[in-house]
Amino acid sequence: MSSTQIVKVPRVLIVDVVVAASATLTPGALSIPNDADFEWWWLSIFRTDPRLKVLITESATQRPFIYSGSPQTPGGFLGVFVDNLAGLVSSNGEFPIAVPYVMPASRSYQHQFSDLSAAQNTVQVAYHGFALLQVANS
Amino acid sequence: MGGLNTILPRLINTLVSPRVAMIPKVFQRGTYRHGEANPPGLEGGMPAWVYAEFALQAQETQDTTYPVPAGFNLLSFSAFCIDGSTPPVEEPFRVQLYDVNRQLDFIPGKAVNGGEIAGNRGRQFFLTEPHFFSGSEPQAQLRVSNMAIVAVTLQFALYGIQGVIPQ
Repeated sequence: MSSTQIVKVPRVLIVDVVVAASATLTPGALSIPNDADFEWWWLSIFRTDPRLKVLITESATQRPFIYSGSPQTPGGFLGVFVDNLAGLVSSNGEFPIAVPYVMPASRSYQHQFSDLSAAQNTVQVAYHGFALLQVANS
Repeated sequence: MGGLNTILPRLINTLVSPRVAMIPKVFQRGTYRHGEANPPGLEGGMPAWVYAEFALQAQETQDTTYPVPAGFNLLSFSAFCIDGSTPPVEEPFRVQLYDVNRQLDFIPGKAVNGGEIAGNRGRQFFLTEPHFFSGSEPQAQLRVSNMAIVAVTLQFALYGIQGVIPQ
């Protein structure tokens, strides 16, 4: 009788986007590979200029990760500054999600970036965690 | 005979530092209670960043009351306060935070410098224990003061886990 077990394999998933100067809601997607669920532990972001905002939504459920309750937000609801989302890679390392969050296999997460620097902004978002691979016991 | 001169230092050295859990967030295991990888009881919740943003004139103070997601457990603060120059210069501000439903003032009396609750831009401050915003429509109240003599954009963000009611 065969059985399976879950093996955690370190995995980093990337969202790479070049945001044009002053562009709003430039899309980028995080796609979870279909071989395994992804257990998300850490987040890190590189960006050219800190004046960059992002919104993140789980595509299947439309559940947002980012909320703004402030009616005073200038320029509308464009998301959280990326330095508030994940810290600054150059000085701070990675942001701990603190409570690991499992992203199901094949699911995608919509990112929308908005530039406020009036110059092209190159951004990379790195999701660090583990693939929860299901392997057969021999 | 040593008396108190020898006993006191030994007693002091055996005290557990109240800052034992206040370890920089370099290691996941060091973020919360000693030896625990994550605050227990919040598994299954979804990460959430809740922010308020202000366009503040020089030395202006504003406040706002805003909803936080249901079942929100606050874990961390971060902030971003810049002027309008290029590259932007980080400017000083002060902040007060209030849990409306539970009538809890996080910073009673004088407001705290932003850097002392949320770190400088690009850094976060983590609570060693989560704070649960209770009620069906939990709300936070935020009051911020621009300490600079120039106009700034200020965003103050709360990070936490939504959708979990702690036992």
